Amino acid sequence: MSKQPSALIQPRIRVNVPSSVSQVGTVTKYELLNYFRSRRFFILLIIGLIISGLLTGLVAYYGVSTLAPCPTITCSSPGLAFYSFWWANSITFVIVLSGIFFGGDAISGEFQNKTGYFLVANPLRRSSIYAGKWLGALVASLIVFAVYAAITIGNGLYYFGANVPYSLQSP
Amino acid sequence: MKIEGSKCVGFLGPNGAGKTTTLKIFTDLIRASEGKALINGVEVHENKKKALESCGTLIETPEIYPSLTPREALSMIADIRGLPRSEARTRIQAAVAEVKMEEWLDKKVGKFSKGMKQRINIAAALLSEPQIVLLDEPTTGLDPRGQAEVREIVKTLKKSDRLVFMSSHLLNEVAEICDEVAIIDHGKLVVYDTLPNVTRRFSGDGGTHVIDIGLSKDVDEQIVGRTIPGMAGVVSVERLDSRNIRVKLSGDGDNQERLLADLAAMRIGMISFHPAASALEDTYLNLVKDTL
Repeated sequence: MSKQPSALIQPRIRVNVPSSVSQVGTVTKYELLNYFRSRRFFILLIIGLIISGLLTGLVAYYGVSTLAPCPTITCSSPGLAFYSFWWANSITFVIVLSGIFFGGDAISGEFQNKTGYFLVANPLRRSSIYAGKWLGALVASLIVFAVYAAITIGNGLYYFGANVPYSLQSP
Repeated sequence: MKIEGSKCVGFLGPNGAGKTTTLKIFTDLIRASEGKALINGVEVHENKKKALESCGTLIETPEIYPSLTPREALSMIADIRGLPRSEARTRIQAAVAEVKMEEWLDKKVGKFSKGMKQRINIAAALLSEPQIVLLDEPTTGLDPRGQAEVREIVKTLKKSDRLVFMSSHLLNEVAEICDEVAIIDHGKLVVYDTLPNVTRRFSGDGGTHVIDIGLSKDVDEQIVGRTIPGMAGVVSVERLDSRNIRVKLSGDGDNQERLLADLAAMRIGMISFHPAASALEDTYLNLVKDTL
């Protein structure tokens, strides 16, 4: 330990604490950085890729017309029915998983692990921390969702072309 | 309780007395059931941002996100506190150097020991060069060298026009670095005064002070055996080791001042003169009867 006055105690810096919006951005940024380096993010990404891969493999193997039975008499395309069923159910699964993975312990975990004390005892509102953490979890979840959606929509476009929405509505 | 000025105030009390709770109230981690906590005249719970603007804190040995590096964790604090980007870089380097963690600046915190994390927490508390520093048992988890380094940091802080409010269980630590002491028991403030006043009033030897004197050279037996015992107000002199002596002194502050001046004039190599930790221990034990 130096006995001389260190660089740490040179004349104090005059700082202005940023706005709450800016602080929300800071919390979000580091929350995301933490997610991107966490196992849970990659596990969820892999689950999304596995579901997408299963969909791609099944459709490629069985073909769109024979893959799934048509749920209603009016349905003109079994493949489309399968896709809509798959999309609706698996995307729900991905969203729920995202909520569990990212949102479940977002706040309680902070105090159980004592990581919250590092942040909370600073000049920022609790609401800024909540908002930043929620935004971080939302963006991380949306990234997983976007990867899944990109593959699924890519499949749909490949097999049905760009008129999928119209075909789904037609009798 | 009102604290002002540039000094270090030690906050003592048994387990569960309310030391950490008090510090948590001052950082709005919990709400006070009654009363108010103000920093620079600003009520903490009503305007936390303003109140903690010039306040560095270390509460409950916080954990840091294990996937972050100290540089990233401190950058987050710098951003939250509004340090300019270029200034933040310099400050992070300086703060990390002060706690002797330069080599670990870009390593993940997840691999750090408790003591290493505590050093980063201390760096975070001092990052924005706060006027007021609230420390909750800052030497917890640190090795003896780390404890000594933190004590030096606190001493440097109080010399640079800052107020340090520090809870601790280590009475010798408080006796060494604090100017004033506040003792809390069962949520009530028992005493708050300067260290010499508190030890004089409550150490059990009514009206006597115990002073530890450090020397830069070996103690002269003649001086310990005859010269010092003959000085005004000296009750007894004890040789602690070859370079440290303990003097029990009666009377008021004038006797202390006279003893200090006389010893300095004798040129015996005196390098320190402070109330003994044992006096504070006596005081503490007299004031706090139960451990819980």
